Amino acid sequence: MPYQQKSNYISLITTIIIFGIYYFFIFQFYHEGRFEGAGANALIGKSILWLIAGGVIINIVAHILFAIIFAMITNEAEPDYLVDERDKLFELKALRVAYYIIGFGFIASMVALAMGQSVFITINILLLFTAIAGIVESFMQIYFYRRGF
Amino acid sequence: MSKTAVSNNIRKLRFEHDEMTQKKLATIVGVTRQTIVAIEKAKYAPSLELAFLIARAFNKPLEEVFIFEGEEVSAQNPP
Repeated sequence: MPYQQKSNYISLITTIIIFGIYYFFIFQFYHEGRFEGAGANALIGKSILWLIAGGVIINIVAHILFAIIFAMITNEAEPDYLVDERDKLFELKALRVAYYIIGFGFIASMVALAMGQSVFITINILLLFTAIAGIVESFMQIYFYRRGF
Repeated sequence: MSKTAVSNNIRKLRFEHDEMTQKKLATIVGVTRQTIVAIEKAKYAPSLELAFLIARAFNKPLEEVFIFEGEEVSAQNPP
């Protein structure tokens, strides 16, 4: 199994972990009533910035750890990180599906906003669809690699 | 599994070239072995550039390596 194929499993796991941690804290904050009142919007902004920063760090660490473990298991002096046209095609096909999901999520969040839902709900609908898009994107790539074309 | 309209003689040509491995061909043309496997099984149609590179690896013209098996069209009778 080439590196690119395996890295999709890492992306899938990290997406679930990142959004899992985010929603764990967000639900706690929500039940504590911290998204109500004057500082609510600032807290939403800070939470998302933490999600982005944490997501980048977790992704980098996971991929570095994976590259080390992969190199140790395969015992290759120089693992094959080659990305060819077929890899790019799989990536683009999966990205297109993810784009549709995020687009749908954007519409859903705007509908929620139009119906009088709070900014917290609106933003989190959008983030939920982003998480789903990320998971589906990884699943799609895994599916394409398993199918072979 | 669906096949593309482009079949090929890669397996035969590899055999004729000292039983060249899929890995070696992949290294020569700069793709992964899995891509060569998919092309060989006609599950994936390579880009024109990759098709030329594969043909060059065997010192053969493109049409001796790849065969288009789709419907015939001509300039007079477009699809």
